[in-house]
Amino acid sequence: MACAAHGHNPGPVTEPAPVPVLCIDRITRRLAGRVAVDALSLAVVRGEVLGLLGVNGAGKSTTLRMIAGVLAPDEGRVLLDGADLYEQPGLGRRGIGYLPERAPLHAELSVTEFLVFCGRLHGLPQREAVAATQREIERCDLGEVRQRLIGQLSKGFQQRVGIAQALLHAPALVVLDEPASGLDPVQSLRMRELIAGLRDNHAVILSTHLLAEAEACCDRIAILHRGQLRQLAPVTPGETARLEQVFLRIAADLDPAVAAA
Amino acid sequence: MSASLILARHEWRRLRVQAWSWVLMAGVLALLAWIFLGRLDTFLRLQESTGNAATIGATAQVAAPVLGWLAIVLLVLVPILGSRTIAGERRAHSLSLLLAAGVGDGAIAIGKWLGLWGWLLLLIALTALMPLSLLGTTELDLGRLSANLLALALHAAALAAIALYASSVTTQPVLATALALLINVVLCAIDLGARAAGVSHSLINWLALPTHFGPLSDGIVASVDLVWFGLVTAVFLALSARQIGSLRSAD
Repeated sequence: MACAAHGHNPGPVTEPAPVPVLCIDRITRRLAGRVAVDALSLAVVRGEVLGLLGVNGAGKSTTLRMIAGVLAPDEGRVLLDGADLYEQPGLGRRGIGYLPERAPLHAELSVTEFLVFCGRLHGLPQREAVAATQREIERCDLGEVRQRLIGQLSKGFQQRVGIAQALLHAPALVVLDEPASGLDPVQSLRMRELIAGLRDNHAVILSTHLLAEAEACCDRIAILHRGQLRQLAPVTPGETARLEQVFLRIAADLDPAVAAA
Repeated sequence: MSASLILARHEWRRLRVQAWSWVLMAGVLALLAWIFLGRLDTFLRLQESTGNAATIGATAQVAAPVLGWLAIVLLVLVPILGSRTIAGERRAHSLSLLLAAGVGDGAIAIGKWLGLWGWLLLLIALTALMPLSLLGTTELDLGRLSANLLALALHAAALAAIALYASSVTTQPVLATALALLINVVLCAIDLGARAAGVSHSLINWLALPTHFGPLSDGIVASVDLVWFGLVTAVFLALSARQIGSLRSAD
């Protein structure tokens, strides 16, 4: 099966030994007549943070939307614990936590109200949803704003509420689309710490266009360009240099000024 | 609890915490209270002038016109209220919360519709308190009043489904409002030409909303009218669910 994770990887790879929580098997998606994601295959195991790295338009968000069950692939399959997500959409209800690029929040509700609703939506009974809300409020450091309306919160707090809603139902897979986007350096640092802590209980896949950010919080990095996988490698000192070279080559392709520098 | 009911409660809560929904409800109730007092005044004058021998009772003279006005107001109010159900979510990029939570397309449509319908039922119930306040002082035809309230509830259900569908085809709440209004007008006026030509029992008449609302609000509960409201609601809910499903395949 193409879920061996490395369909287009041109370099040597390290095969994850445990059974993957997520397998995407040659998924392709066209948007507005353009191939946004092209026969992409990847796998993520529990306890691992996989970063999708790429410039704007590389296909990161489209890939994550397909993984989250929000956008059906034209071809290929998304397998969650071996079952096809688009044949059994209910799998995502308990199995996936998703934070899109813009956190899906209801500005007119308080943080607590919104999180309890998200827990209920993901199938938790009322009592469990309330308990999970308290747990995630603590974990995401939202205690001081728990009764505030979401629309009145800063971008950093809103992003944390977005992460909390993705974690409430303790999903096997957490999907984060540019989780640190728009945050100040201190908030970014806290976000990295939060993401690093997630690997204890979840498989995590996140997207970013910053190599340093990917290196700081990911175990493996997949570089995407024009919807294709260009490089997949673990974050180790040797591999990091190679990842940087690939990423710079892509940037130079797009902007000759980078090549000149 | 099913995802639909969770979503319905949530929609209700969202409407409850937004000032504009209460302002709209207060405005509608104030208008209907004004009509109610006007009709009551006319009724009392009539009773005085005929020495309490007037043949038209309070139900026909006071209650039915007030509830009839509510039906007309709903034709405009529901498109405004319902325009944000899906379009607002898409604009705020929060629809992905529901899609990613594995909630089925039908469950999303039914949940959103139930939430909106619940709010409309509250408005109908509050309006019904006006004529019901006469119970201690005059006789009311409770059978006709019940049929009238049933007609309003079904009317609101159908209009809510139409508003939901309109809201699912665009990201612009204003366009959704306009589309729902247009559908409502078409449903109300589709048989005007036929009626003008003296045709009153053809298919085109059957398609029109007033053909079914009129008899129900007059106290005649016929299954054909109940089926019509049920069909319109079900068809637009199914179209909404289909439209929500297509969002998973679209950009």
